[in-house]
Amino acid sequence: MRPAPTVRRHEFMVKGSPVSVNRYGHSQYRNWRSTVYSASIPTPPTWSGSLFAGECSVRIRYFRVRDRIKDVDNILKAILDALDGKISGSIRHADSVITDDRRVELVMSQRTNLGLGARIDGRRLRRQEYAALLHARRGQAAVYVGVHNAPDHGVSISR
Amino acid sequence: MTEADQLKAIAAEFRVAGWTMSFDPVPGSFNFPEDMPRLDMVAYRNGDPMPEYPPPGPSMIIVEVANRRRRIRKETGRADHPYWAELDEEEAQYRFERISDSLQALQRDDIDFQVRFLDVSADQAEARSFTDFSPWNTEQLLKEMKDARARLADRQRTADDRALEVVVTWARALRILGHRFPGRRHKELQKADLRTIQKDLYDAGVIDTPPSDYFRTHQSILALFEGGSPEWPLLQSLEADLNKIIDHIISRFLQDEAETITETVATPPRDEDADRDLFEPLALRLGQIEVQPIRRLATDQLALLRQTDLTPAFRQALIDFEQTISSERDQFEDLLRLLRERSKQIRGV
Repeated sequence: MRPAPTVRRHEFMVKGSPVSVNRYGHSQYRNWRSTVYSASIPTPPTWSGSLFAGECSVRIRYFRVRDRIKDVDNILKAILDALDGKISGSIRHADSVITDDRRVELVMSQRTNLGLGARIDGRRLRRQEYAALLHARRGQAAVYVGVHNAPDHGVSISR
Repeated sequence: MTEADQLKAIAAEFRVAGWTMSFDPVPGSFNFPEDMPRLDMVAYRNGDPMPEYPPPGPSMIIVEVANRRRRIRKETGRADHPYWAELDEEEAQYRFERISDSLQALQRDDIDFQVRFLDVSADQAEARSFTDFSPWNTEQLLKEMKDARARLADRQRTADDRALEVVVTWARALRILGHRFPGRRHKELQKADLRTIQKDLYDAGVIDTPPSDYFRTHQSILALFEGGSPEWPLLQSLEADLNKIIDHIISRFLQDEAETITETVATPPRDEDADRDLFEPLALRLGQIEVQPIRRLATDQLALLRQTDLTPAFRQALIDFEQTISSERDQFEDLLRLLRERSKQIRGV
């Protein structure tokens, strides 16, 4: 088995509208989770097993134009499940981004509405984030997902 | 709002906050790397874009309008692209990365980079341009108007089908007039909404429905195209004004054809004394207009009025003349009244 490389960040963009946890059990939820999973694993895969073996942080940014609004907390579950490689119940894909969603120590979920009044800081924008933003302009919605190393607990996140 | 108006609105925000704005600065400006793409807007403070000792806060903001239309053929170097369009996602992404990389190379923390967007009204304004038809092609225009008239004359259709035909032809005819005969100095009508063009036509005397009465009909047109609940009788009522507009387009731009298409109107015998009373005082009064361009244009149009006297084209020549002297209308109202009566006589009204 090829060991996962040492990484500090893994980012990708998912085209489409996130599905709320309120749709759990519906095909729409499963399809979205599957879409996120497919987007999270590069083709061809550059690792096997889990990319982040230990604790990690996840940052999610949901860009929308005219998409029906989803709550920032409700979109988390499907994405975290996909990062975990979940297919259904306890069945998982062999390869995934994270080992277990219980290892996620920090999650940031943000929704950005794109319109005439929106101002996005380009210097802090990741490339995949910008790609999600561009796709949302045409396709109504897209999601950026960034997985990073675990937060440094010596530094308060409120600062 | 059109794209240009929205860009001005974005720039105005910065100006109000005390920034100096530069639009589309050429590559190499502001000591940026030569390989940096042409930027949309740059805002800087105090007239010094790159101060040696930057103050607290950003001294410059680069503004990228993500969904702006660009000279795409020039930007991408691809001959198969249209000349002016929005970049696709890949090209826009590449542009963003080049700007980001160039900024990183500059190593200046006092330069911010802000991404902005145009809203959907820019798309709506864009939908008002012609890509299948040149409104300056007189032959094509005549054919389109003749075909429209034939379709409207078809009484076999149901009332709703006719109303739909009327609405589509109405929107098209107004858009043609908005391009071909803007009626205002800065050609604002080309991208204006239908209500604005309708008002302009009413002011010019082409149609009879006041804008306040047209308002509900316009709401029904929007409802029709947005899947709402239009009021069909209102849409059907557009037919009268639509026929006037078709007549107007034909007589305004297609004089020779107009004489064969429109009905022959009995013309009164020419009274030379009456002409002298009609045009000569007008010519004398035009000489008192202080603004030279208006005086010159009005004098040319007066000559056209003389030439088109007793012809169907007189009416449009009069409309043009009235628009030119609209700022001085008070001085000419009595003479204009006589000209309007003459126009009615010629039309047989």
